[in-house]
Amino acid sequence: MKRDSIVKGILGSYTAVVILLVIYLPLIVLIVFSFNDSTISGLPWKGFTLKWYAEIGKNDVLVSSLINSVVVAAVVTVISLVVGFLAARGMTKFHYRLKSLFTGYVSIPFVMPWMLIGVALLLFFNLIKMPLSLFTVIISHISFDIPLVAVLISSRLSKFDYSVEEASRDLGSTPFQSFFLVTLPIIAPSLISAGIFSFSWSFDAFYITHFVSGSQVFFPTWIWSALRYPNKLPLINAVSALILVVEIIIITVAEIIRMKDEDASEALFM
Amino acid sequence: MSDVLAIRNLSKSFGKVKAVDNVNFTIGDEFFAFLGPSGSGKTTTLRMTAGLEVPDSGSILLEDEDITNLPPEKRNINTVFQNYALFPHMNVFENVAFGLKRKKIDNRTINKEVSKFLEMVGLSDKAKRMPRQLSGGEKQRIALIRALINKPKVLLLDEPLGALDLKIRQKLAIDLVNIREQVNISFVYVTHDQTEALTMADRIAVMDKGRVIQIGEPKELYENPNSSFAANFIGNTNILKGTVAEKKGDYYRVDIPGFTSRVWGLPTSTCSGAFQTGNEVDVSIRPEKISITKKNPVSENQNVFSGRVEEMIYVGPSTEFLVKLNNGYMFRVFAQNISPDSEIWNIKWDDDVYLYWRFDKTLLLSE
Amino acid sequence: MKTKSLKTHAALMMNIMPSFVYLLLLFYVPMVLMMVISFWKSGFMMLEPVFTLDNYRNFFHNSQYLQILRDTLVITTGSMFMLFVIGYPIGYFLGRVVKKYDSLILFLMIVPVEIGFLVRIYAWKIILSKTGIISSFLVYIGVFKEPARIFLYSKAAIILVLIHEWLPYVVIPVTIALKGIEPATLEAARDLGADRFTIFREIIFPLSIPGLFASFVLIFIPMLGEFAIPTIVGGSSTYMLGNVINNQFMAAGNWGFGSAIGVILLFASTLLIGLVIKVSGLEKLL
Repeated sequence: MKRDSIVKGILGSYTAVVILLVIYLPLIVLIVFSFNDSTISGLPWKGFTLKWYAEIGKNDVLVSSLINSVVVAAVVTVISLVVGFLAARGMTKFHYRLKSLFTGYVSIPFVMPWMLIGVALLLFFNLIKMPLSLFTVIISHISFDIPLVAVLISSRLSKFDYSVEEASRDLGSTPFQSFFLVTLPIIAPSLISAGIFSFSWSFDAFYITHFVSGSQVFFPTWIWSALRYPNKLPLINAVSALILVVEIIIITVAEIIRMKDEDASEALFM
Repeated sequence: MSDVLAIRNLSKSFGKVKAVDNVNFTIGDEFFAFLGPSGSGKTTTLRMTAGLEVPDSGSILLEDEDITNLPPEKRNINTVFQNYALFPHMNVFENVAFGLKRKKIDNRTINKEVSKFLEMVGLSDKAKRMPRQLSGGEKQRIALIRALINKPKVLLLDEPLGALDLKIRQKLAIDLVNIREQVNISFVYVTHDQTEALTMADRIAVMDKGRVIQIGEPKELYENPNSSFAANFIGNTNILKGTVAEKKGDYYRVDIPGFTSRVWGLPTSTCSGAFQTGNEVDVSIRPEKISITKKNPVSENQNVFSGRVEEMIYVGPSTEFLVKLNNGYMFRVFAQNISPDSEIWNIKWDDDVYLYWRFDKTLLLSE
Repeated sequence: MKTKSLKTHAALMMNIMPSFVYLLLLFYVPMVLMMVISFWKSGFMMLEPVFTLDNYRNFFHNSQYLQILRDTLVITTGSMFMLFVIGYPIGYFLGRVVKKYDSLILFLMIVPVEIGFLVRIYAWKIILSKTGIISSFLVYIGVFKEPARIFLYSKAAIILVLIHEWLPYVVIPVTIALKGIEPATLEAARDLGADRFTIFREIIFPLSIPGLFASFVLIFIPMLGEFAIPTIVGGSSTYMLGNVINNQFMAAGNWGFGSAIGVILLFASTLLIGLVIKVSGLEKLL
């Protein structure tokens, strides 16, 4: 009994220290230095300022990159949810010979290095002579987001009893009605959490965006280029701190929904 | 018969619930069963014996040695778990060999022993299979020999047949008894299934609400239960509630409220001589001890009641009647369908009938 | 009967066709294209559909690239090993020791690493730099005489950031695998005479291998394709193949050669995963 509590104490402190130092330290540093009155993000501390936050709005390229990324993430999420959800049904609902092959087919992009997806798509667009633009970024993101959504939702659907759809048909509703009245309300939490997941992935997807964006600027590619200019570094601190806070709020909401629907979180990893 | 296992004043609470309440018993070289409904404390008693739960008070003696505070890995007792608890990442051979490996026995002896035990349960060809490739009955037998191979002083079995189909269950029940006779190890068997307990066990302890209600051989428990609970839990019975009115020889007369007929009966051997006039008692009559007829039977040493047939259920070898007595009691009667000219073929629904049974088959139980 | 099965067939097609066609056109065709182009004659801003093995020859005959391949494998396997060593005790803590708050702690781990990928790498650069908090702290307590970089611009810095990036993806599968172990399995082991250490070695650890494998697949392949982390904290020397590929596509303009390295990367990861399945004896559990 006593030994158990010692083990618990040691492992608990270890966990706390690792989470704090390995995971949270950079976030804290980033936020703290976004208020430092210096172009150098280091010690000694030069005084408190909000001027870097004020500069965000003044930088037109940054603002338009943010808008571009939000537009891309929104469009990508909507399309991926629909197609990915259908794929998840294909992976769970029907019985057909090539089911596991289809499941593998949809899941493979999920474990592919993102940069290779980006490179392959760059070659492809070049070969079919499609100019790089907002559009190529959107269709490229969807290639990864469909598998992401499909994997997340299929784990929920694998525990979903499809006979409720049959019961609803039996009671006189059309396939459409049974989907909107029965299936959708049951799996809504998984859809919402998969949606938020794919939105934040797309917003932050540097590797694919980097290769297929051409001259258009998106938020991750703006950061990538800004990192080379020392005078822009405090601005990066400020805008990242801001986005971190916004995303933490969004993801907290997503996680709360996801915890209510725990299958999805297991899905990501098993 | 010397005691292999002795349990003394064992108690265990979970929060406010007394799971096991002052339990005492001793076990020799025998097949011993704990029988009780779920939550009766039988599994907790078993787990304390295995060392998987720590008792609040009381002691456990294995061949006169106090093992109460010994951890499970140090006890010479092994368990067959309810859902087998086979190690999913080890094949059949590795599962069975696990206990011997812990004793640092050399590989040649282990190989020989495992093969011997696999052969005993007829699963020699399955040694390389993984647990998930086995049927329920096969898993059960592997779990059994995985424990037995360690030659424990006592083998504990926690509802080992609970998850199986009826047919396999019946076959494995017979196997278990035969295997016990081969290996000569005391078995303690926990079940909620009275048929299992009656067919397999040498002795049964009936448990309810953390207490041992009665310990005895199957026949004794059935013919001489010491309480309504024991009578009801083992087999079916009809219970009448009444007061002791008179004593004559070994027999007592019990008055049942609302009845004009008098009921004579014997106290069960477990409560003999315990009754005074005015005591409240339960009268228990097993359904198969009752005869049913349309003519008024005039007979010595028989209790006779009249009533009306409410329900008749033909079940092949026998017919079950539900008869509503005059005061509203519902009585259950089993009649054997022995001869084609038996009187019972004439009995129909709503017929007025007489029920009669012998005084000495009328058991008086203290409440 | 006939019409019903036709209907089911149509419903099935409606569900699988959109993703099938989309991924075919915008994932599988481009991937195959990359493999094909890796065999094309290629040079600066030049690509000719003429079969050649030059791209691969150039790679394997260049000791500099082979060194980078070795460095990539050292960094990724080193990070993977460190991730298991650091992450396993946390997974054990969450999966087997704490009863409450485990999902809260997991949540605290996941949230920060789902966002701001580039920015977090850059934050590590701030931390490890000469004027960073570690250096300043060490000067302050007197360990250092004057400010200095800590690991920055080295393989160690890359490994550190990789650990930061992927730690939750080790902890979560291990936690789930350990939580999935039936209590009766452990009781059976004790009952059969196993002590705590034996139970860990014989039961708990083997049963968590599928979790470790899941995190390996989830982490290792993306790590192989990393180039932002080595670019930001790796300094001017090239450590990873991702940088070479990026360079071929975005600067050197030799796409055939870049594609060939991509194919080598894919091949290496497939090979490693196969090897791990073999070595860990995982097929028994799958």
